[in-house]
Amino acid sequence: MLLNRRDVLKLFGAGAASLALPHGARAAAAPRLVIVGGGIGGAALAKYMRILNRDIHITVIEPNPRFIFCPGSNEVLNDEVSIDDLTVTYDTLRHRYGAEVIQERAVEIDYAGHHVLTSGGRRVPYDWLAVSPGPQFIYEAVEGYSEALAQGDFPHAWKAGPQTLRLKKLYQSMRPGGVVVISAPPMPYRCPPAPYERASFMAAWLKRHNPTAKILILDSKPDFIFQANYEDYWRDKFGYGTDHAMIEWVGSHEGGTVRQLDPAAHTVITADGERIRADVINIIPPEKAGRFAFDTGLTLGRDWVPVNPYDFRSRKDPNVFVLGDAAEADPMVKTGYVASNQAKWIAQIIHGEMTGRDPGNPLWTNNCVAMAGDDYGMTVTDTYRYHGGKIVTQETLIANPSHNPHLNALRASIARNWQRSFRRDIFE
Amino acid sequence: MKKTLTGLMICVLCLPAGHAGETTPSIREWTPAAWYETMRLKPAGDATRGARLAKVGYCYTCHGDQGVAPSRNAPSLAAQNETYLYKTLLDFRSRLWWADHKDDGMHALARTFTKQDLADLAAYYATRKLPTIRKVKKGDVHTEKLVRFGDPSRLVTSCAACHGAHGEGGVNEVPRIEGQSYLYLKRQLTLFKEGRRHNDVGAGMRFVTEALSEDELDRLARYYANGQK
Repeated sequence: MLLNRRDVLKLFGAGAASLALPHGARAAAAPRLVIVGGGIGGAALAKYMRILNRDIHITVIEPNPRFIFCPGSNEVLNDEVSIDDLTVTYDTLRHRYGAEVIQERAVEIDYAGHHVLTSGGRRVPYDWLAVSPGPQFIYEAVEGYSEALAQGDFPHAWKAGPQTLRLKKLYQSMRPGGVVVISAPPMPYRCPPAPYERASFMAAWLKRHNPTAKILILDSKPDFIFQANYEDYWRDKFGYGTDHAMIEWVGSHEGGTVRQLDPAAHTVITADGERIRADVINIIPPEKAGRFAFDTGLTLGRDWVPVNPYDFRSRKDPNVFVLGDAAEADPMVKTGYVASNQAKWIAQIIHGEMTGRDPGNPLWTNNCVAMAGDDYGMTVTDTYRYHGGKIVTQETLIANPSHNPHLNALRASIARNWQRSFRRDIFE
Repeated sequence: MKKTLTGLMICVLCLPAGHAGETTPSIREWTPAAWYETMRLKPAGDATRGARLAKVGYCYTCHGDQGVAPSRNAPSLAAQNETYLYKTLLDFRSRLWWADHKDDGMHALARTFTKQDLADLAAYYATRKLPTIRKVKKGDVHTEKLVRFGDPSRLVTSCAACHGAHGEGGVNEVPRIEGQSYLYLKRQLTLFKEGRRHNDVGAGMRFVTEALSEDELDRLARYYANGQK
């Protein structure tokens, strides 16, 4: 039996029927939210905005027809998941949450006229604009490195996709006893424990297939999150700290910062001037706010976009919200989970403005997981509050290093569970 | 020869594809011979040691202190058949019992224990006491019939034949089912019927549940849950 519009109205009420209709059929006067960027922040905002408010018109401007989830993509490197498993489309946003998705690149904001201009020449009008462009990489921070090299034989693989597969191929086809160099960036960057998780996963694979290979982590920081946990695990599994260590870590205090890449010689040059030749070089460059934020003047001369810490309205224009990695929201870390929490809060701010309801005091959460192996997981939870005109950390709960193998394994299964349920939260 | 080869290849193609993103290595199902050998070689369990393992293994977070589950999310283990507990842990460890992500936690944990540990845990939980559950209303006539007599017309053995007159468990690995939560029993029966749980020796439970309707399974789950939601 086919339902016509009248049947739908009878069954579910007017709200459901209007949701099922294309945007043009809805009231022309509906307020408009335009979201630039369909990553975790943008998609979460579109979904939760719709859950809160059925009348608002939501438009997402995102050039890619698919999104590849970054959390969980290190697992591609040791064959645990495939890129396909991490790939989602915008169909759910379109059909379940009634958002219009324009598959073009946003290029400009007309602040005075309340329009976003797209690469296809469209002028998209907005009442509120939310910008969630993610980060971009500062290739020039490492002399000799470039976007072209990253797309070739020196992938950073810090955005899940072809580079992830390239990196996997490179390190898995290395000569016996080959060396992988991972250059870890300075803070702040997306997903702080990921370089060390990456090294651990690679080591697990190499231990089985290329047991004399080595992974050298050259770090631009003196320490890193979950350091004690990782070092425990590495000692246990990869001889960390011995002469036969499969993983070595050199912090910035020992001259670990990578300053230069000599691609022809497959060599990196550190702050100490040491030249290190490696078979696979994985430079994770430092980051700053995405290009769109710079092109539209939102960054106001800084590396990240300054925002009002209460409601994430940009300092440049109060009708423009900025969320996710691009926003300067210290002390919040740059994770997808934080981006999704900012999105849920911004949805409440906009809903409050539409209905006159006070959204109250925000509670933001960062729930983050990492793994060292399939038998060793870690979790961290931070909660943030708005207090005294700024964002403050309320509480941090972190998985302390444990020698209880049962607990470590349980944490790994929690980490896996987190990945699945988080993906579903944002894209289902 | 050529024919055989083609046949083999077709068979390989027929194998059910695993869940997207889940690597499901093919694990051999229990044959009666393999299971009897495993039972024969089962280490003797030490309940005192098991108590300690249940603590460091965080078993109590889901299965409750003393093995009485505090929620419907996990089964109670108190007074469960020791051999069944041992076998279940082995099956989680080998991933033979892996119906969906809800079993990830058990898989991850069971892998961290030795066979001796598993036997000790089984001994510990088997010797815990299950609180007395007030008897509630009996099932309807049809359900009672299935429980006591089965249904010979569909080759369905009665539940009581293996699980005991009151569902208290039987010989070998046959578990106690009385007093588990309705939700848990219903899920297990459904998983058997769909073949997603396939760690039953000789496919016994799968054979029975396949013949029964969803409604019958639902009533049986309620019957044995005895008022436990």
